[in-house]
Amino acid sequence: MKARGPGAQWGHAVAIALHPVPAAFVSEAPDVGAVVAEHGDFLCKTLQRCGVREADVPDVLQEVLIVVHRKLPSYDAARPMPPWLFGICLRVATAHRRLAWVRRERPVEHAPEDATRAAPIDPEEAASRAQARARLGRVLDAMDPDPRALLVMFEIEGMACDDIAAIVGAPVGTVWSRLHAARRQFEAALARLRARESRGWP
Amino acid sequence: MAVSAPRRWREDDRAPPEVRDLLAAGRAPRGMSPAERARAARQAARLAAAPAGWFAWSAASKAVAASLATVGLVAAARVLAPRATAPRTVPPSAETPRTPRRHAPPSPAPAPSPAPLPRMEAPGVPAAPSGVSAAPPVIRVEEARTHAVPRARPAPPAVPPAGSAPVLAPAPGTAPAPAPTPRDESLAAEAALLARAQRLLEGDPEASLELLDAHAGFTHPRLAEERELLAVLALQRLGRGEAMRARGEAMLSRWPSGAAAQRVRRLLGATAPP
Repeated sequence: MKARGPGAQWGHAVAIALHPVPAAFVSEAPDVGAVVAEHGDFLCKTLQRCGVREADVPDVLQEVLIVVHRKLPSYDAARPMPPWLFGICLRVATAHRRLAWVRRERPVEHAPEDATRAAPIDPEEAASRAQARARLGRVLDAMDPDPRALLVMFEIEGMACDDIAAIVGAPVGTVWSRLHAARRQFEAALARLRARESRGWP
Repeated sequence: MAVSAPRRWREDDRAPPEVRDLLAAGRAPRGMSPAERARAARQAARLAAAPAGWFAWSAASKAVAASLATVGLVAAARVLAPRATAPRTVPPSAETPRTPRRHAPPSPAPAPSPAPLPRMEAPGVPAAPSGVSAAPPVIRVEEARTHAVPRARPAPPAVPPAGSAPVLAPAPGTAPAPAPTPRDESLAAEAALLARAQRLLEGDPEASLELLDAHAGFTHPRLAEERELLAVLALQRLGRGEAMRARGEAMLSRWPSGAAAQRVRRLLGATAPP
């Protein structure tokens, strides 16, 4: 496999072309299809936790799969996969959010998908709920992807700290302290939002 | 754990009510929809079959180089007979004198830019999914294609015939170069074409653009996004800022996300008018 590295010279390359890689060598690594089948849901959810908008998930997921494909050979099968995938999602989502057009875009008050969701019972309540959700979205968007993901998992999804620790790949104690830090960030972002609103800024 | 674990804000009476209301409005992220699952599975299959995405270009061009070397005769031709082969293809090289400049050695005789397309009319084993690979040395095109090596390497078959054919098989595509009717539309051909364009990018961006235009003639290009990225880069190197911006924006509107889009966006952002 070493001859495949970027520094491979022609001689190596010829050797590759002439000698097929032994089948055992190839099938050793899990492939992207298996990852999608087993962790597809997890990938989608994690991207959203990290701040990728629902509508953008399919596209960002595509990038994630490319990275997964590229890095699978270096994945240590003895270790649990979720933390590994979480790290990839985090990096891809961070890069995605850094894009100028994503940053500039205002969070949508009513995502188009809302129509397909369970019909609201009381329109007034639904409206205020949607407004609160939009505010929440702004506060979360102001946070860094990593603490944001933790906060979403703990406060919104109500996941247990143990489960979060298993996903993040850190001890529970670390999750706790990171959660505290995430809360502080959340509060600071909320305070900024309030200040903006009180001045009538968008 | 229950002792020092943080209490959820929503269940904590001491938490500010505003925060609790906000969090109560939050929605848990959704899982993967069936459509997304199908799409992701398709992409996974593509990735597993042909590592010829944008990121594998360097690998692809290496594979091209590898198969060129495999043909073996290329090297000999480079050393011994660049002159001897040249006269045979006078008409095509006269028509498009640009591209051979840097590629004269690897593909001695036929290098003119439209040439690789028509020449690949041979009984195209679809190279993309099945992963037909490098041609064994010293075989003519038709035979070379039958020697499939079970490797996922799409690029090779496209070019080695290009380099070897005119020398070995007497005039495989006797038709003069510019008759692009029966064209090889395989992914391998696309990848090879783009790899050449990419190599020309630094030295001769204009020739690179020509190659890219040739690629635009494909009926069902699978690497159109990559082509547009290269075109934007070529226009940048040519200093044609407006054309670059127009092309880049057209590309972004068609492929708003993806690695290529990211790069173009950075590029356009860097040169944005104040």
